[in-house]
Amino acid sequence: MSPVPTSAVARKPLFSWRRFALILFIIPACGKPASPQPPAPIVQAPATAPPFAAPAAPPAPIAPPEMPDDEALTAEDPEQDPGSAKVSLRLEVSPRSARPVVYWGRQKLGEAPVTIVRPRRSGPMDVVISASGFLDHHTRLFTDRDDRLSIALVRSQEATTMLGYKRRPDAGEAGSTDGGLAPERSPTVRADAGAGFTMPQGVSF
Amino acid sequence: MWLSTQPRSVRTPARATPFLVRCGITFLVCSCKPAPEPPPAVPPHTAPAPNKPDEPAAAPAEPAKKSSRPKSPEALLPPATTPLPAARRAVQVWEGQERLVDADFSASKGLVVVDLTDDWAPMLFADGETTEGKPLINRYRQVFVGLANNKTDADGQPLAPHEKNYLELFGIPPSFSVLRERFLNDEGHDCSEVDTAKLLGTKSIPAWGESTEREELTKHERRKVNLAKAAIEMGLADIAALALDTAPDNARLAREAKQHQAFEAKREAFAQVEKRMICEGRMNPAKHKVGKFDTALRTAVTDFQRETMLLDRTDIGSSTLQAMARSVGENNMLALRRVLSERATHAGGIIEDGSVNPAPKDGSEARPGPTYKTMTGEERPVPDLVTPATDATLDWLGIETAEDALAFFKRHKASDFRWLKVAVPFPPKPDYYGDHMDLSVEIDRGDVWYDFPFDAKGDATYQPRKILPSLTLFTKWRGERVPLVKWRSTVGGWRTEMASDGHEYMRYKGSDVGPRVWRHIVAAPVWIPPESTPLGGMTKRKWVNGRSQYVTNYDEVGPGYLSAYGLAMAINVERQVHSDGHVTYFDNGIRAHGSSDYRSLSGRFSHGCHRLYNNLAVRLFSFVLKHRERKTVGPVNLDFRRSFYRDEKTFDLRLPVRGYYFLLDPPMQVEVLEGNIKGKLKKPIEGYVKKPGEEYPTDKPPHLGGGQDKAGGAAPAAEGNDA
Repeated sequence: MSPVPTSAVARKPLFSWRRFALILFIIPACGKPASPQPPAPIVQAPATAPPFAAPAAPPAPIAPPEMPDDEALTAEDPEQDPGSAKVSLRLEVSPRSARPVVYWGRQKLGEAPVTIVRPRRSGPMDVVISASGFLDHHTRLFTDRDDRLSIALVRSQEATTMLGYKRRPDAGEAGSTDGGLAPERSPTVRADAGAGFTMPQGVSF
Repeated sequence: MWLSTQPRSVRTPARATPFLVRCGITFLVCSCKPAPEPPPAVPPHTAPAPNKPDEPAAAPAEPAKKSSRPKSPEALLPPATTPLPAARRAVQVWEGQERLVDADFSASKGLVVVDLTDDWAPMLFADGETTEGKPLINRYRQVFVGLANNKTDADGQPLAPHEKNYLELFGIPPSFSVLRERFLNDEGHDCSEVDTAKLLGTKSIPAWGESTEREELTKHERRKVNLAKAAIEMGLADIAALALDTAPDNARLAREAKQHQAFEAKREAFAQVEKRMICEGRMNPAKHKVGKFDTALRTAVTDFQRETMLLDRTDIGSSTLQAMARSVGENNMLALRRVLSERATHAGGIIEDGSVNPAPKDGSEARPGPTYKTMTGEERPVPDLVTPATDATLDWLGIETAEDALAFFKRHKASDFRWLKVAVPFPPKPDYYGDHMDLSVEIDRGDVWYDFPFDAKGDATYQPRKILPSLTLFTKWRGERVPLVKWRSTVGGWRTEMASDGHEYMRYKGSDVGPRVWRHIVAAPVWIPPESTPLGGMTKRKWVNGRSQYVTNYDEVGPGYLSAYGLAMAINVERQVHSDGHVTYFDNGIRAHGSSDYRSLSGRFSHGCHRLYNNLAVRLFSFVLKHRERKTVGPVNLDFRRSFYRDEKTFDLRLPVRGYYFLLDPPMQVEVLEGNIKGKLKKPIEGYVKKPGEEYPTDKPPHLGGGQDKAGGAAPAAEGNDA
């Protein structure tokens, strides 16, 4: 089956005065190209001049149009001491009863919670948090400014609830104790997605 | 495949012949008197600044050579007679002698001070400050500088001393200290044992995988035996004679003989490639099996291509072969020129690079290009400013040849590049320049096919595009649009996408058409991957504090040169005026952005975004920021965190900020032209279409996803995204 939709177009005379009049009537209303997902009602075309119409006279100084406030974009909160040479990185892990240990490479940083003092902008720290009965948790602390992070460890048997969990090919039916179905929120993984499951082309835009 | 385009920090063996012999250092102590301005005949003096302990030696070890290009004496500045702080030190080379001049004074005389320091980064990555004067740190600047200096990796973590970044193709040119090291290490490497005639005896050498290579070599040997036997039977001297046989009965054999010769030429060129890579010290012969395109050779060639800024990637194409036919010094000289070109372009606040009127590829005379009117109404062609600015910078450094460059790097030690600048008279800017230029962008989608690219049998259909997408920057001047640059870009097309049923479908991801604006320019943007992004590439192994471990892969997320949005982006938004008069900006996820996937610029499709080479994106957006009224927003909060599971572990993806934002005020006009719609369909197909050859659980493909399904990925709501 061809995936390309086709349409049968009946042959009609190419020109008629009625059609011409209709086109004249419609054209002024069709100046704006369709938007893929038109949002709220719009009553007029953009207030700015047609972008590439050449004016007859040399350009006058540009009058800035009214700018709406950009409420959604919020700059980072200012730091107490942006010039300090060191930053403090605080890592809290729950449950504390699991006595989670934080590692940075081969260096054991200690039992959580930990506070690490590092030179400012010395590069991110990729740390691993280990606790018995829980999945190892890999996270990153940033040294651009003081950082604070709370981690909730995931029990090994709760892995099925996580994004990216995939049922083993030999796992039983849904609901069985040895794997179960992949959660609905991770549609990208399939039960048969094997080791060769790699990033497809097109992750760059 | 995308991942294979990623550069890596490479371990390079020491150059085969390290620089051992240094010339004896001769200090030329010259008298320095305040020169009249302009001096009709300049005494050969050098900068005399008395050095403090941390100050560089100003006197050159060797005299610089005189440039053959005439230089304007009006641009020559008097040498500094008093010690200058580092920030005010610049040099000029005149009559073969280098002098230290006052950078501030030179700027006041209309010269451009081109920054040659290792701490340089494009304006886009400069720190800003709030209206209250508080600093707005542009975090990526430090990473950019670290990468350019081979000091850090893409995360900003220290690079091992033997590792190098080759990132020019990714928008990060090497620093001058790195170039200096190259020139000094390569001195004496003429690689004359490489036979350039054999190297250029073929147009390309295929980059086969191991098994294909083995098969092809076996096939070649078999053909050789058969042809030799046939030649003997026909009474011909050899296979070459068989190739010249024009008898119709022997046409097949003659054709095979020609194929054999072509293959032989490739093998001979291949041997020269091996020689060259060993000569340059890029490949350890002990790790390479002669005649095989193995990992050692592949790595060496890729490094060579990246260092030489070639787009061939692992293929050994004609540009790679030509570059290998050049001397090492020539290639280094070209690299220096590229780096200086980037520095000069940013220093001068210019962008015109001649791309609006490129020279015809066939060598014929260029047609008249676009023009502009001067203040007096005179019509002039839109100039190429970048080339003469680069030439002038080289001239005033006294560099014309690779030998000049070597001398320059010999007389300046690495620490000089903490302060070194050069004062240069740039070509005068056209009249249309100003502090606030009426800039606009036109994106032409070129030839566009909406038709499904496979026929009913599942075979790919031919959808040629004569006109490829382009991005043109205009300035409006005296009632006319003057094109400044025109660069190759990308538009959307048919892409593979994972649907909610877990299966891959085809979907047309187009580029919106019509008027848009750029309100925000973002340096070092991050890309927020939709949850549907496969997780296979989201982790990687990395050496962390003395141990190899898995970490979250931030490469394609960013910020960074490998980010899906490259080093910089502008957000295409649609300005909409509502019934109550308020204005919103609709973001459909389309951006104009840099891209590490530089090969896609040669004709592949995007997901709707308009890609540019990273270095051009940085140039473009730096130019826009320099010539438009704007506000620095700084790092914009994101505070994004996503945890995911992989191989019995959980990983966090943390994105504290979206990027470093600038607000253009007023916004800049963008017009996306529809292009030429080819084929039967005049509108794109909505929704998923089954991929030929794939098996699906149901006949009906699932519906499209929600808000994350935008053309360019998950568009942050903060862009005024009303969807």
